[in-house]
Amino acid sequence: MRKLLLLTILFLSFAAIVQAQTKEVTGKVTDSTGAPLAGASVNIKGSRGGTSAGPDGTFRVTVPENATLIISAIGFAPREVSVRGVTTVSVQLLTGSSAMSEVVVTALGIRREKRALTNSQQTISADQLNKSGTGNPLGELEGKASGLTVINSTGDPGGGTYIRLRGATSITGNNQPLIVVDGVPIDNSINNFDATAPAGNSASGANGNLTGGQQPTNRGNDLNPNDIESINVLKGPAATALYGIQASSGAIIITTKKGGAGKRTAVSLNSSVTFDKVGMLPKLQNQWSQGSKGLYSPPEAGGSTSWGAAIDTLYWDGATDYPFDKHGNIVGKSSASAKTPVTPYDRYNNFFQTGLTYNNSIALSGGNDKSGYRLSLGNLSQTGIIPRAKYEKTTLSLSGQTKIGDRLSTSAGITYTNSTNYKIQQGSNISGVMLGLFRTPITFDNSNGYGKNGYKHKDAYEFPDGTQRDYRGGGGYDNPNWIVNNNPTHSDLDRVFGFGQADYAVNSWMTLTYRLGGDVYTQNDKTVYDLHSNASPAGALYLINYTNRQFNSDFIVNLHKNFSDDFGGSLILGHNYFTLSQNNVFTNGNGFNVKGFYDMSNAQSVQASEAQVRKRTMAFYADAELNYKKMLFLSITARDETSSTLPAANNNFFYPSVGLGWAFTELPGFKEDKHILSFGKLRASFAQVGKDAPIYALTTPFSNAVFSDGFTSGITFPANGSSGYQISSAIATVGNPTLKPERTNSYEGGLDLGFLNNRLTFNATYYYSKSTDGILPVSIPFSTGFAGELLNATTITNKGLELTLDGTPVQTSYGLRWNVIVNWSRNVSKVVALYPGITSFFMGGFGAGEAGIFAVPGQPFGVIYGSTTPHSDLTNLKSPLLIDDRTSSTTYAQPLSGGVGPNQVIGNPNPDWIGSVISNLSYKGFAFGFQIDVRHGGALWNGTRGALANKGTAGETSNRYQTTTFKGLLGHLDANGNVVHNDANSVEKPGPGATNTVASTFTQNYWQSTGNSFGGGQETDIENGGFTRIRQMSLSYELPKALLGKTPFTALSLTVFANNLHVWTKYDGVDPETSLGGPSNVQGLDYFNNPNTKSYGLRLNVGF
Amino acid sequence: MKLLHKIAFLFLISGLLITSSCKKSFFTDVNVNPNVLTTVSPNLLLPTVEAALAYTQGGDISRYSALLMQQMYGANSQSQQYYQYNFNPGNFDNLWPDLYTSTLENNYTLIKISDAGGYNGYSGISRIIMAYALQVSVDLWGDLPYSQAFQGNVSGGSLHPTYDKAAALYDSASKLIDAGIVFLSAANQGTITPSTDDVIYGGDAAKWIKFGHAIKARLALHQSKGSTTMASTALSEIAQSFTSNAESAQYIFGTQETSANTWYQFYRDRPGDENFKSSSLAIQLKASGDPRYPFYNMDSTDSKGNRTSYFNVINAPVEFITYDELLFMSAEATLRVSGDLAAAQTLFQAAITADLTKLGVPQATITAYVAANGTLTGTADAAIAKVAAQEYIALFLNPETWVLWRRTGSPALTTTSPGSEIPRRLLYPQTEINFNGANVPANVTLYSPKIFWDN
Repeated sequence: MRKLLLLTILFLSFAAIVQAQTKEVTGKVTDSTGAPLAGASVNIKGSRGGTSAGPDGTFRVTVPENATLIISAIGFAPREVSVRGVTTVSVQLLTGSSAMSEVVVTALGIRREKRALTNSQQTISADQLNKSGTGNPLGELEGKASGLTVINSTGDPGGGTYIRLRGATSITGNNQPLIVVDGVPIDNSINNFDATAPAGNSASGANGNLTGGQQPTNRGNDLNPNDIESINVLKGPAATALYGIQASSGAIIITTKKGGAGKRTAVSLNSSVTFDKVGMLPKLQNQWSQGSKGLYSPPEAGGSTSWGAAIDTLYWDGATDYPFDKHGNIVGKSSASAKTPVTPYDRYNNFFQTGLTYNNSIALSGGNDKSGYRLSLGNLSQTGIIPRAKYEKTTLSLSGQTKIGDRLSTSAGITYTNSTNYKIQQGSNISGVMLGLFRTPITFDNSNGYGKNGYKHKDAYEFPDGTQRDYRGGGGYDNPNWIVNNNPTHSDLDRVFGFGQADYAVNSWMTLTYRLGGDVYTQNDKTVYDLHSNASPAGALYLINYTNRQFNSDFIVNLHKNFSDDFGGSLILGHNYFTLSQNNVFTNGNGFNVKGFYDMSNAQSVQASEAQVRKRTMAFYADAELNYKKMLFLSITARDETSSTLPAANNNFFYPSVGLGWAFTELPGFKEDKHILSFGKLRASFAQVGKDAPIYALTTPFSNAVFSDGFTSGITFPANGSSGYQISSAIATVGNPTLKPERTNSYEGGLDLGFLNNRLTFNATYYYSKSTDGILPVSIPFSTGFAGELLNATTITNKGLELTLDGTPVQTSYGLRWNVIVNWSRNVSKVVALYPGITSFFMGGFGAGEAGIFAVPGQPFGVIYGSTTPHSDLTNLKSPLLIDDRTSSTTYAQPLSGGVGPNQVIGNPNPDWIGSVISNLSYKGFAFGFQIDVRHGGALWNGTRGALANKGTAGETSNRYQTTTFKGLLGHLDANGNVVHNDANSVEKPGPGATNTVASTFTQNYWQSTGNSFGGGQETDIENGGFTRIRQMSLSYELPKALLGKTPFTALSLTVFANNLHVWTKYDGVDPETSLGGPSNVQGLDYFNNPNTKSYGLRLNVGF
Repeated sequence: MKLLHKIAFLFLISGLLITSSCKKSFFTDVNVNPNVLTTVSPNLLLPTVEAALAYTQGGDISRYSALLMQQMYGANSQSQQYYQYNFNPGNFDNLWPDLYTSTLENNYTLIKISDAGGYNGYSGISRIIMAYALQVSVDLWGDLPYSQAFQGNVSGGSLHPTYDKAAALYDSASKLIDAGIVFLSAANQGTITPSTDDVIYGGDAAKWIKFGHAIKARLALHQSKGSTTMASTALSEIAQSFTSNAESAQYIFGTQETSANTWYQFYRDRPGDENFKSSSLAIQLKASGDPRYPFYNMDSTDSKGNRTSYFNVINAPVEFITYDELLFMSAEATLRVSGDLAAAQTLFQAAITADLTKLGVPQATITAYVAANGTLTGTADAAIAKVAAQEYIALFLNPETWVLWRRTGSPALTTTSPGSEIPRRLLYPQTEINFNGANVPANVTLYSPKIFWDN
């Protein structure tokens, strides 16, 4: 209450001082040649008011006396014009790149001059996006800003995107930035379910452990990229402190296109078609048949490996009654029934398709002198490279603004999205499509002679009795064509989000703003495992209904005043209220009576459960900015927030930020001549932000009982006619009524330079942040009765450097222009401490003895932890491997089998640095652009390779029977696990022996024991995931205005583009950019990920 | 200015509204999960505890002992590894939490709730369940956390429980049963009494008391090698225990996929990992024409593909202590106390008869089988070996067979992993080593230290 009184008094006292005079100003905006600049924005400095220039470049705007207008247009350097004492102005804009006086939308929709910023932000304009027509707005951000990591989990239609700014600060919480559209936070959750995971293991959320299931989608996908005007990336806490908890990992501020007041009605049409081809895939061998120890074994024998006979020794017998192959049984060359030589089946080409994406968007906009509107309709229709994968998205968006009288302006926007997604099972999941595909021996045809069309023919993947036709006689992994037909996941979404806003200019220096935003959606998922699916042989059906509702209210008092010509300032006071409510209903039916009938009535037993999640936060905040002589800028923010997830006694917390900017080029000496060094600013800021506790984390309740043991799916209550509740289970965490918020203290310093009238700009930011009191479910021994306890435990630091260079090396009077943007960033994270005594924390993946993503004190965030193959120094992975010197051993003269050395950190998936080069060359109507992305370093666990090498389908296993001398030191481990070697008399001596010179052979045993992570240490499959890739390339032609003059069109352009054109990498699994963990904190694992795509397309933009 | 005042007024009012609703409950009420309970009555916990106990025993414990005792054959994956005694601590990371959290922590909570509410029936049942779980667990691992365990949600409780000695845990089990019987015998059973929520006995206190005595009989008999006193104790406990198959302690699973028997689930979810037909027991039963073969044949299905074995139909029981086991125990104890072959033989034949009757073997076949196999001759030790050999067949899939083999050496089994002997205990799980390392007994292998009664 006290806070409120204070605010009110402040408000009233300011309000009482002056009431402003206003006047109308008219003007015209032109370029250097005098041609009118249609659509140029005219903003009133320090206020939200403004308009845009009409087709003839003229505008009319009501402004306070003595106001300053900021005139800007894309591709031109903005200008500030004072209207003191005048009512008409004429403004000429000069071309230039991101000049420092540009206005950007910062936290809470506050518009601020770039020059006044005291922290790092980077704006991406619409013309930098939307080049490819993928329809995934967050995926498009890749490489566009320094410090921004974007990971697309697969190339599947509707596949999820993980984004992160700078480093991760929370081990179990969300590390993704807040997505804000037109001032309102929108939901970017992953609502996903993995039916193959142990009971209670969530595949949703930041901490979801997704290893199987179907590829996830993040809800940020629901936006229509064609509606986006610009995206401002607020990289660090200093930029987002005003947003509070939700933006503690940064924010992506999206501003949508609006219809301008005073503009004539315009229609804009965007249409694109994209062809997707399968991207990078693991190399498979093409010489060796199904079987073991060099002998062919037929599918009906059920064997899983391709260690059989050489294909050139095998013949088909032509039998027509053999259900596993249309060419008949496979027999040896010398067999009497041998008829035709066996030729290998092409696993990839007989499966992957060309995906097709049609992306159409039409927008209508216009307005009169008081109002503007924009209506857009977008439709994306995409089929995947995997048969039947499909994504269909329709968005309808309406926005408008109007002025009521001189002081009040209102605006509102609403977007409706409908999408349906047909998803394919993935990953570590016996119904995972790549598992069955990559492991298929060359002697088995998943398509049964139908080639690419195998999925359309039932007899390719199932027998008349409904059982599966697969290379393991019906068992093992599902036939990929079976999966796409009989194990579907449908995800249907209906979503509405939008905002309404009223701005009231009380006087020339005070504006009141109220904004209410809402985001409501339902997502209905249906996952099926048909009868005879190997993951669920009896058949299973899962219906999951997610309902999400969130509302956000902001009341903002915006005060700004220039106290003198040199000294100005603004103060923003605000109140925020946020509420979240989710209702999720989960229904599971088991045991089908009828195959192929995917209805709950077909299930022999049905179970249902529900989860309601609710949260509220409320905050008061203030943002003060003072500027002196356009040279010194001080900005201070404070936010006092209360969250429902924290204990009542301790649910309120406060965090401040302070930043200082010094535009030293305003100093005498610099000021006079700005031709070379046009702009220079040093800035420094400090911010503290917090994260609240997980929802419902304070108590230990009784929940519906569910348990399983890793081998069977277990018991779910109600069972046997009774309800059953549990206080504990194998994953139960004890609640903590004394939790505190997580806190991050962040420091950043930066330098912004502009040269040659800002034709070349350079931004550098160094930051350091320390996050303490991170909430961790600390593992406690099960003998305490529980799996873990939630504690404020972790400390994580992040430091890094972000560089952006934006230059226009060529700009000629005859229209040739070449612009290059280079982004480079490096983040070094460190888990400083977990809870005392906790030496590692499992975040996701495959557990300790296998490859998992862990937090380990002293190590970077989310390292890969797992077993090792014995090295000559067991704890030093850089020391030579031990080569078995026991002549009687099955691994003699080969590396020892893995798992004996201690489990330890085996890889760091965080790249050393990431960078991108974006080039745009334009001449008259032609534009050629490309973007190259580089990820340097960053390990990946290539479990795909591990499994394929073990099963004998990996390309590298073609070397079987070849001799080699394995590199390493001779030795083995004694009975106590110590490194020893045999001397000449076969007596064990401590330590490793000499360098191995004994030749050995790449045997089946080698590939199944030491050559990969299935038998050897997980370490064996750690690979460098670095890459250089041509992300995008495009060529467009825009018809000159002169040519269009006599047509109804105002703009017409055609673009051909290619995405992911080529990738250079040493990595040899599925594309290093795919991620098994999907959009979660678990990154760095590749285990039969669904592959990425490379695509080519054509895009047409028409305006009339 | 008028408008300004109005706005200011509105702001003030809305602020007051927000502030007045800023009471603690405005936030705390939101953070209450509507999909869980904060308190439960005992009848909501007992079904969980019984199912968890049956699932834990019928799951990993039964699979381990059946593989080690060659009642099942490990054909693939982990089962194949276990069959050849390849175990590492990580292999027990599923079993241990199922035991300590789903079964024991929930049961511990049930004891607390029942005692506090004066629900004497539940206080008794939960103690007998705790005693039974302790007996089974001690026979697998020996020393275990108990007196300091289950403190995870107790303020100030130990997060690193120490390990109690195995023999002391046997005493604890015995005392739990004594206390449980007192509760179950109380004249006033309290305001909530068990009925259909008790899947094992439907709330029949007398049967629970008999189960308690059966556990005590086991505790004593396990220690009876060379101890007539223990064998006598066993006999006196047996005398107070089951008198028919109908009183056997077992959990019958539900008829839905999500409440299905453990072996049914294993055959459903991990087909091909284990089979019966290649096991030593199957080969022996087939060779001898034993009438139990079809009842034990886990691999067989009917024309519709449904499993037909007594032990892996969807609602098959997991047996804790059966009436036939009690009779076998009494035959062994009689031999140990008095060496009275005739008396023991009567009990022995009754045991075989009870087992075959339970399975549904026709009476004529039973009579013929008993006539052919029911005679005890020779020394007491030889007779004990014969009793144990039959008991081993009767207790199909029951982990008690492993105890029996370790105690009596019967039946004679050949190692499945040349060079390695058959294990005599389990390892502590990796999670316990990781998170309670200071207290976990060191230097534990599959052979040492042996369980205290194993000599």
